[in-house]
Amino acid sequence: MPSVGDPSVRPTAVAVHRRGFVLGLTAVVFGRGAWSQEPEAQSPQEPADAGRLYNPGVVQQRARSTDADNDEYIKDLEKQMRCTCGCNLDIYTCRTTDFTCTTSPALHREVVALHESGLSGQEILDDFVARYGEDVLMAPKPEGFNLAGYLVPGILVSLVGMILIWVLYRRQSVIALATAEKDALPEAVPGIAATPEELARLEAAIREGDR
Amino acid sequence: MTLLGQFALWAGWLIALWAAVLSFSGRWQGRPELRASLTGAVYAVFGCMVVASLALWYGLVTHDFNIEYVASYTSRTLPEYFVFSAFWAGQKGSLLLWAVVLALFSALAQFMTSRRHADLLPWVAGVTSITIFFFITVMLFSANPFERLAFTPPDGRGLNPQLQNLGMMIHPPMLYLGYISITIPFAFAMAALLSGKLDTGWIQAIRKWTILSWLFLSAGIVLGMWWAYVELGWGGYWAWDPVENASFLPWLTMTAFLHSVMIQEKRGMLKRWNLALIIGTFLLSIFGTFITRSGVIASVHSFTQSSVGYYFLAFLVISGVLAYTLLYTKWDRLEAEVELESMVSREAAFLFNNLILVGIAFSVLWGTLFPILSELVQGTKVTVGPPFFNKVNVPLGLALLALTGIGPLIAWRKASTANLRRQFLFPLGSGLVVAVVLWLLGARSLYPLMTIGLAGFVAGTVLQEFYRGSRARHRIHGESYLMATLRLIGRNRRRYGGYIVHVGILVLFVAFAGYAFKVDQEATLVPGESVELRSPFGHTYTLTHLGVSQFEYLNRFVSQATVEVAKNGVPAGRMSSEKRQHINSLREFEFQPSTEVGIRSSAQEDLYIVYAGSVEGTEEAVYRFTINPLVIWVWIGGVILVVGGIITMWPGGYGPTRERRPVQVGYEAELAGSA
Repeated sequence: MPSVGDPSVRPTAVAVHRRGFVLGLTAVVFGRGAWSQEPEAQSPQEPADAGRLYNPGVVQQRARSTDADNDEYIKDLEKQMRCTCGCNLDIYTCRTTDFTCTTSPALHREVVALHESGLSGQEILDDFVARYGEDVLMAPKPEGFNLAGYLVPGILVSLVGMILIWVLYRRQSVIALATAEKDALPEAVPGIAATPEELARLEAAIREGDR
Repeated sequence: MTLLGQFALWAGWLIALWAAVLSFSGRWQGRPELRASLTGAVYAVFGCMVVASLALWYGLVTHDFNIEYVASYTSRTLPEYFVFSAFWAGQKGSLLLWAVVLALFSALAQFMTSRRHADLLPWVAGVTSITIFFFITVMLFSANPFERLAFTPPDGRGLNPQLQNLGMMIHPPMLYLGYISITIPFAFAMAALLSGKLDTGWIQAIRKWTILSWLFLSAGIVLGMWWAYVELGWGGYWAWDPVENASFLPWLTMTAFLHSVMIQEKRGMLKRWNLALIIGTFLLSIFGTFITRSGVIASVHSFTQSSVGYYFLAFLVISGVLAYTLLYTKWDRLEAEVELESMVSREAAFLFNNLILVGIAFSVLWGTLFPILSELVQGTKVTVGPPFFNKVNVPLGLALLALTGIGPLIAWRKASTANLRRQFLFPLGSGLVVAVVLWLLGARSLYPLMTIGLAGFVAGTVLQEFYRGSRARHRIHGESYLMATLRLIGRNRRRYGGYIVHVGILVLFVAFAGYAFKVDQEATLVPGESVELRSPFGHTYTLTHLGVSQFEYLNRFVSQATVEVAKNGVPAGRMSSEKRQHINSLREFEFQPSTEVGIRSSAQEDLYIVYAGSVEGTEEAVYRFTINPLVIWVWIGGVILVVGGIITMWPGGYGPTRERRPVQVGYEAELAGSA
């Protein structure tokens, strides 16, 4: 893996076409830094060895992919485990995304080796937990205090939802009762502005008077 | 210029302090000259922050590498537009961005707020000024963007290659605009509590601000997803990373607020809840900043760990305690004007919508903080990644999607059985048809099936609403259906803009469901060699490696791997993915080689190729090929969401003033009216 500043892998001067040179010169003459113009894509010098990259030091070197790299079972297992390089990604995502990471390919090889030795998926997960700790799992095991992690949001939402339904149901009943009482009252006399309560009081007072 | 920037920071700090002290002392009451001084102080702080920002930009464009920030995030070879955006690439610059934008919004709030709400403005000035004062304090005492080095390096360290992307030029400022603009509704809420003016005035004053803030947050989140997708090379767009979660939290509570505030406007209910929500949203925006900057939770996005986390934690706790205490002191004056009449009503649907939105916010917050909690309780650190969040949140998300369709179908106050039958028949039918068709096409996964079925239900709801409204206009005014639909939207921007937002949400959900059918494969190919990849839609791609070319371009050395693509044997063009080794002006390497993915988008799927590297320095290339179904609909859904939001807040139409409820509403009003 080339490291930053390693002189052995620095890019050597790339041959500049005449047109590029003239453009660059024009840019300099007119006061723009040559760096800020967009140079045309340049062909590398004829590689001595056909098939070899002109400058291999600027590309990550990778091992040839194998069948295990595309094994859905292994991928699924790796998606359940975190890469220990500190990237916070699962092993599969890290090894197929962060090509500067050397940890995730090593962990991948471990998973493949354990799988080939005949261990089941759960045994592989347990082996990783035993060696790297529980935080190697992308989601905590649903046991003990971890259950709170899984259940608290759902329980809270359900509980509040049930309380809400209960409160609404009670209010609805109270309002239905009030409406029924209102309906039982005699019709208001047209032209008289009075609330149903006032009318009810008036009716009661009349009954009292009649007695 | 750094001296000027430094001076502007100190001047802004003192003026903001003056404004906050003056505001909260209440001395401006009955003293027009002090009130004018308060307003002037808000504008002056904005001026100071503009000067400080220009000073930093000057340092960046002139490559003043004696400034630590400039040396850390730029180099001489960095293209100009990235030099410009390096302003917010690091902790210190982004704090200054926060301060200048908040100062701008604070000044705009003073300048643009209607005279009807003028009584709230001095209090608003106090809240915004104390927040700006806090940010300037953090800069002056912990993360000064104008800090100088003891020496001047010949070139800077350059900008992280992953930040050299258009998405990173737009996404962070957009998200910041969202976070920062939340301060204004929060300030009005605090002003209402401090002044005792607890009528609907503060809600009217912040209506545009809340939508604007929600829009910025939405656009910022979607742009962040787009950046992650095109730049990070993992073929996904959302990883439930703590920093992603931090941006999602205020979005959820703000969405809840946008719904529940309608109940307060129309029925005079949920006053306490709305105030609690807006305070919570503000605190979550500060919490997001705390998570990003404290390093307390591991995240791929975090800034370098520094002491600013303590400042944010203190600010979070103090503002939370003060704001909720203030709310508590006014609790009795925030009684609902009417009571909820029926469980089957629009109000009840909105309540459940709020419950789900806040429930999702809680579960995201819970999951984000659970590693810390676990370590405290059982002494074991656990990782809470996507499998956890998906397990907990997908059912809640589906419930939310269902409520998105249910809410608009139920009448305000109380819905009758006949009304429900009439309203639900078509949407339920459309949802069912979509689910059955999908089943017949072979889809068997439960969640994607439910998601797309529910999306069909929501689409049915929205279609029905548009159809009925347009038909009514067509009958009454004789307009063509197209004109009737356009006028319907124009005249009822809030309602129909909201429906368009719902369309955006359902499109996003469908796109998310597509993620379940993702296919990927690694392959090592020599030039001329091919690999086949089968799409979940049934066709096959043949990808033939053509070779790797290398060239120098701008500030980098590029290795470009190219493949010829054929779909079912028919040539479909070429795609390239790159490795970029950035170099500085001394031709030294900056950072490790980064990857640029190749993406070929269609309505069905994205073909996504990643050049992982070469074998033994040859053109034999290792690729990762991915087929991502329906990804383009994430971006389209995001655009629809934003367009709907813009329509909702566009001035004119029948605004909230036309829709405002009568003075007496509810059951008592009905009884009085019927007597």
